Amino acid sequence: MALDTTNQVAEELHKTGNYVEIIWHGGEPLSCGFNHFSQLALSFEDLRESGFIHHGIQSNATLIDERWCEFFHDHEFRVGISLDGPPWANTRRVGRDGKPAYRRIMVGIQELKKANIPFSIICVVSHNDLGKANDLYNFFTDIGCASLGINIEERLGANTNKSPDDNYKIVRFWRELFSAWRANPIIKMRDFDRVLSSLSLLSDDTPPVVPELYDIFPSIAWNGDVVLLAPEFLNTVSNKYGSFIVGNVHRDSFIDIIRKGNSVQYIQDYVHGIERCNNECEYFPICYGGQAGNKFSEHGTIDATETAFCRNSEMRLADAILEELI
Amino acid sequence: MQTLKEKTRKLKTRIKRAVRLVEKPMSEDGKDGTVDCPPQKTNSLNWNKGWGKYGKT
Repeated sequence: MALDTTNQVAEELHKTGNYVEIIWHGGEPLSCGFNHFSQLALSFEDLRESGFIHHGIQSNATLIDERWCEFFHDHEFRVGISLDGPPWANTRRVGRDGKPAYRRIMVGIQELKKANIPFSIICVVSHNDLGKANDLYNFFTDIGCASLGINIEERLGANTNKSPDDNYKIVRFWRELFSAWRANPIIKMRDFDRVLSSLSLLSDDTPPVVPELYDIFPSIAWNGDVVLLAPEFLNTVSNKYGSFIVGNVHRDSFIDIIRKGNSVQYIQDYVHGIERCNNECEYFPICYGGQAGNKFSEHGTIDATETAFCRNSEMRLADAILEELI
Repeated sequence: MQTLKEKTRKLKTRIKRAVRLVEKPMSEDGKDGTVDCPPQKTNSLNWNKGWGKYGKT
């Protein structure tokens, strides 16, 4: 990404005056080098100092050293690390040389810990590791992450592997993980947090309230192209929706991009799909309608309802928690 | 066959207890309660909740 793109984004954010979380994501964001990345992030320094933006980054940690830690600390980055567990669970995270990245990831994590920078982990669980929830939980408590999010592997974007579809194994995985967490709840668990809060509301007699607003989650590419709803759409072209690009920050104002977003077909399909979820699925009060990227990659349309993500990461998770609480 | 709603009603007390476990300050476990953990959204009206899979906090 070029500096004039981040400068343009910052200028547009100034105009909107809304609080925004900027997530540096996609590939490995730190691979552009410290000098370039810090320049890009400093485009937003006025906004950050005024409390209008907060930086977040999702990194594989392999490049994190003392200098990066100092930068994250000084600019209040929320740091997320992508790590799938111990070496046996992390075999698919490799460097450009094709060698396992595990050792380098752990060096980066040690640097974060030395600098007292809290970090969250996103762990992708594949079919082979569904029987090892206890081992995974113990591993993540040992490395000292502040929070943990579990993504059951999805066929999405560049990943063409099939999502696990063994309901029994997936429920058993979530049950084992929930049990391990309840016995030693020292990590914030993203997935238990959100599903338990929804189950709690559902257990009350108050009728569920359907939100009237949703986050369109704009993703901005290196060249300023903007897609909505899912970052995977930046690399996607479909017969039905075309390129998914709703504007470019060098050409269009944010307000125009958002306004245009209201009328593009894939957003309208998303809203319609959510309405269908609400009408057809009893788990709607848990997830509020599923993910656009998963709907498209599995069904070829966003006007769809259930996906493997719904089943594996929402429905079976809720089932597992309820079974564990009996 | 119980509906999801019926199951949650039946387990209401245990669900609320588990929610308290989520909310319990880490300091109660001897950890530093002042650690600035990435905030976890617990508001059920938050449409962003699924974006966590992309790293959104």
